[in-house]
Parts: sequence; structure tokens; C-alpha cells
Amino acid sequence: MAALTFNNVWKRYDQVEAVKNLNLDIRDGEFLCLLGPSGCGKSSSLRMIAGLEFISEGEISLGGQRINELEPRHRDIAMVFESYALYPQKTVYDNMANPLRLRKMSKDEIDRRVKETAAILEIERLLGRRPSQLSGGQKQRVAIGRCLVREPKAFLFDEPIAHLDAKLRARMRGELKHIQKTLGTTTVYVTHDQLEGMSMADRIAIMRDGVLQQVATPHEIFNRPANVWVATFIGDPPMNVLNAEVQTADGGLVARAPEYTIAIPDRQAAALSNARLTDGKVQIGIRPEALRLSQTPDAAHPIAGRIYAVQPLGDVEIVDVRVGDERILVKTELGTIQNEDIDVPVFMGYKPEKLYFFDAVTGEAVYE
Amino acid sequence: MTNPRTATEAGSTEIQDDRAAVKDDDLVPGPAVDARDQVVRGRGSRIVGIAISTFLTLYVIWTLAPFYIMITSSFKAKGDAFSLPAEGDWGGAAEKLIAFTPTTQHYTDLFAQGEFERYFMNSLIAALSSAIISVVFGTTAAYAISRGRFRGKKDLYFWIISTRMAPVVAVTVPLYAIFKNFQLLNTLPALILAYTVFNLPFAIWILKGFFDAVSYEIEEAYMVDGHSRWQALWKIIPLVAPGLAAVVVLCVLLAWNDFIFAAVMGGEAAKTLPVATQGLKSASGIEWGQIMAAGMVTVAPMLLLGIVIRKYMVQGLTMGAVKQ
Repeated sequence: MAALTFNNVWKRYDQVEAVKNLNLDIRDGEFLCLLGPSGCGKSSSLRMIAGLEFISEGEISLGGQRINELEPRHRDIAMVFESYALYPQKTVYDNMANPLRLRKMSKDEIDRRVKETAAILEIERLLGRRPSQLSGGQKQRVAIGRCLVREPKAFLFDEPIAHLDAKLRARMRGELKHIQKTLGTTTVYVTHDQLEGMSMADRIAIMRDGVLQQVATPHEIFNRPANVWVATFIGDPPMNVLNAEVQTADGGLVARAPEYTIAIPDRQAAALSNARLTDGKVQIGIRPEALRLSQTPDAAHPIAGRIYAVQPLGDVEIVDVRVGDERILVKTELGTIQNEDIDVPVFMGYKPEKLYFFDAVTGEAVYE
Repeated sequence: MTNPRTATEAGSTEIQDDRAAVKDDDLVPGPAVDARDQVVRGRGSRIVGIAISTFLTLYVIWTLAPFYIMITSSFKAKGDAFSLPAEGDWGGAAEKLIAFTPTTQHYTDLFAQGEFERYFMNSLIAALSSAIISVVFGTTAAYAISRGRFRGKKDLYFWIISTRMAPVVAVTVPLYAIFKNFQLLNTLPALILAYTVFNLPFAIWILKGFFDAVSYEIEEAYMVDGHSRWQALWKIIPLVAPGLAAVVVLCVLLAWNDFIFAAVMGGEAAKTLPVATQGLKSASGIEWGQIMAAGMVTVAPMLLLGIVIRKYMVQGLTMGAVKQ
């Protein structure tokens, strides 16, 4: 177990800069999730830790030791690959024993460790099988098993459950988190699925186009996103973002759009007037679950729109509302809307404390 | 949800059940009944079946008849081989095909009086050496081309295979000149080099495809597990075994069956079986019996090679099913 540090790390392929000046401290025993869309540099970052990619610039250290020049085999890390990468010609037992045999461990010790790990993952019955005789979920367990037997300094996971079906994925999220918490091994987990990051990680590092956007706990990422991109990337359905202009009215600040005017709460007003917005342009962010709907206009529901579509999801429904040229998603309890026909007028209300404001040019969030 | 607690409990037991189900049912035992067997065979398919059997029977006779004649002739005394039955005597003709007094005279002539043992060894050394060189360098080169990222990779790959596009004869004369300068004419190394010129691009070309089919992540897993890059390459060799088997067979065949290089550059010192066989046709007559025996000596090792290597090819094919 060891802490892992990225120090001004760059990764360049010919013309492409995959990772740009990454600085990241991963604490000893932490479960850190590298999250971002495909091509954001998260996999390159992981592969640099493993030693499968050269580090173009900067330094990565593991347990305080610089590992840039170390071959993968000398780094003492274990990795689960997206394709599982089991050894097709070997049995499950031999797959798991392979890293131990290289370490000149005694036969009894290898046998004990493999069987112990197999018991944790409930794959004892599969030890004699070959990978071709396993289902996707079982292959995945074996791949994790090959990692766990080693007790390495760090676990690296590269989209390990991306190819499982939804039900199995949900179960594996719980199991992976349980195993990581039990062993307490430093873990870096790469995924494009925000749900995996939110549900498992101690902290999430969000990347976009090779640039680290924010590192924080899932709670903080969700509630205090650093910028509008992070805000819309996390959350399902995504946060609504509305374009408006900040103006002065009645001694306070308001955000004004053609169809509505939103009063800016005092705690954010100061920051917004201090923030140098270009031409007063601002983006208002509001999560679908922070909006309420009514079919009658009143003071509590000031934004008027028309129904575009309604998506029922069992206990809740997503109401897609058209306001001028923009569309706003509202997550509401089933039965809030009686008349779900297209183009029926609806009125939206919000809690002022649930509003986010972003600089429309830089995208940076403006907090009090 | 009306009652979250019961819903969760129900959900968790369901997951437990599912886990057991995954263990027992997802083991891919293979379909118990082949769906095709259940199709009722109609009259049309029976006619097709008869047609196929007829065709295959004729094909087998067509292919094996020359071998049969070669085998029997190599054991027949000179008089027996050329005696003809009386016209219209079909029974006699059939008898001539089967019944004769076998003699090993032709083989004795080849090996005891001639130098066929040496020619055989020449063929063997030339073919195996070229095949081994082609497999070793072909494997490493194909691996580099498959895994490497470098500029001009596609052009290099095309250039390598393009060297095979020239006809053998076009290369013979320049190679002759080169070998002459290096004083390699009439030596086995000359033949080995010449065969490798043709075998190596072919080996690279075939093996690259096999390496491409092996997921790079498997090697990466080996490296992370604690293997060096060379060890990782060595570990995935079993996964390209069918490719290696194919390359070995084809490289050996090319060299073994070659006539033109051996005739032009081999000389007496590096005479191979095909050239030696041709030498049995002399001014004093054609030694048919010995030619047939020489044919047997030439064919037998290749048949053996085919039988031995088939095991690896089949093993390789089943290995393919393992790849994710």
C-alpha cells in the first residue's frame, strides 16, 4: 500500500496531448475514481501509473519513490483490464497463481493465497476451468482475483465492469467497494460512468480533454461543481443550464432571459457583481430534481413553459418542458401533472438556494 | 415504492438466486442438440448428398491414384512395371495393379549405389534451416509490426510482402550473381539464404495477422504480473501456435519442393532430392523404378510433417475460441 502522486505529468502522442499537466495526490488506501468521457486522458493516466505508457513529462511517484523509469514488472502494482485479459491457455487457478509464481513463493503459500482469494470472490468451483468456459461476470471475478492474490502497492482498474449487464454491474459496484474497503489498498479506478464514480469512490477526479477539472468527494462534486462542464457531467438527468444576463433591479441583482427573470439570492449576488462577467452574461444551473411543477400559475411557480414530452420512470417522471428556445428537464413525483398532453402549459418553481451560477464565458462556477 | 423494505429484501434474494444461476448455467457447456440435425432431410437433400459423395469419391481417386501408382511402381521390378495386359483383358489389367512380386531393388540402388542419403540430408538441412530462420525472424518481425507504433509502418509492411510478388525466375539471376561474388555458389548456405528470401516475408505476413488477433492487453497483463517484455512475448507464443505451424509447413514445403534454385545454385555439393531425381533421367535411359522410389523418399517426410503438425493446428483452432 502506498500513496501515489502525479507531478506536472504530460502525455503526448505525436500531435495529440492526451494528458496536460496533471497534478494529483492519491492518498494511501484511498479509492480514487478517474472519471471523464472517452478520450479525456483518464486511461492514459492509468496506463502511465502501470508503466504501459511512457511519461512524456513530469513525474509519477509511488510510495514516495519516482517510478517513471521502472518497468511495469518492478512497480508492484496490479491491474484489471477492460477486456479482463485472462491467459486463455491457463486455468483459472494458474491465471491467479501466475503473478505469485514469479515471486518465487512456495507452492503451499501460492495454494493458500489462491484458495483464500477464490473464496472471497466465490469462484472456488471455477479454479479448474479455462477462461473460455466462463461467463463475462466470472471472467471479471477471475481478473480481479489475479489482482487480489498479490497484495500489491496499488490496484488499477480500467473500466472493469463496463461490459457486464446492468444488473451484474450494480452488484459488482457493491462488491468492489466492499473488497477495497476490506483490504484498504490504494485504488485508482477509471470509468466513464458517473454512477460508478459516485457510488464507489472516496474521491473523484474528473478529466476533460486531458485537463483535470476537479478533484473532490462525490458529495462535493455533485453539490459544488467547479464549473458548468462538471455540473452537467454529473447527475442523471443532467443539470439544466439556462443563458441569462445579470441586471440590477429593485436594488438587487436579477438574471434576465426573454421568458423569465430569476432573482439572484443575496449570498451569490455579491460574488456575481465581483466576478467579472463578460457583458453580464451568466449561465444558471438548476438540477431537474430541484425544480417543482404546477399546472396553475402562481407566485411560487414563476417560469412558464409548455410540455414537450413526459418520460415516466416508475416512481418518478421526467418532464421535458419547452421555455422559449430552451428545454428544461424536471424530475418530479408521478402524478404531479394531470394533463400530460404535448404543448399543455406548465409552470416551474425553484428553491433559490438550489441555483448555481456560472460565468458564461469561462464556465467557472460562482459561489458566495 | 410503496414498501421499500420488502422491496429491498425481495431484491436481494433475487440477486442471491441469480448468483447461483450464473454459476450453474453460464458455464457454456455447448448446445446439447445441434439444431441442424433436427431439420427433416427431404428428397432434395438426399440427391445433393449422393452428388456430393460421388464427387468426393471421384476426387479421392483422382488425387490418390498417382500416389498408388508411384508406391507400387517403386516396388515393382522393371519388367513388371511395364508389362501390359492383353487387349480387352480387364481382369488381367486389374490384376496388374494389385498383384506383383515386391522388390526393394530401386531403393537399394538409390541409397547403396547412388548418394541419395546425402541428397536427402541436403534437402532436409536446407528446408529446416530456412524454415527455422524464417520462423524466428518472422515471429520477431511480425510481433514488432503488429505491436509497434512507428512512422511508415504500413509502407514497410507492404514492402515486405511486395518482395514476394516478383516471380522466382526474376530473382534467380541476380541472386546467382550475388552468391557468386560471395563465393556461396554450390553450397547449402546459398540455398538456405535463397529460400529464406522467399519464406521470411511470407512468415512475417502470416504471423502478423495472428499477433493482431491476440489482445495486447494479455501481454500487458503479463508485464504487470511481473514478466519482462520478452517473457510476455514468449508467453503469448502458444496463442499464435497455429500460425507458427502453418508457417513451418509452408516454408518447409517451399524449400523441399524447390527445383530451380537448387538446380542453378546448388551444384553437386548441395544437390537436393528434386535435382537428384531429375538426374536419374540420363542419356542411357530413364530409370522409372528409381524415379518412383525417389518420389516416395521425397513425399514421405512431408506426409509425416503434415500428420505431426496437424495436431498443433487443431489445438490452435480450439485455442481461438478462448480469446475474448
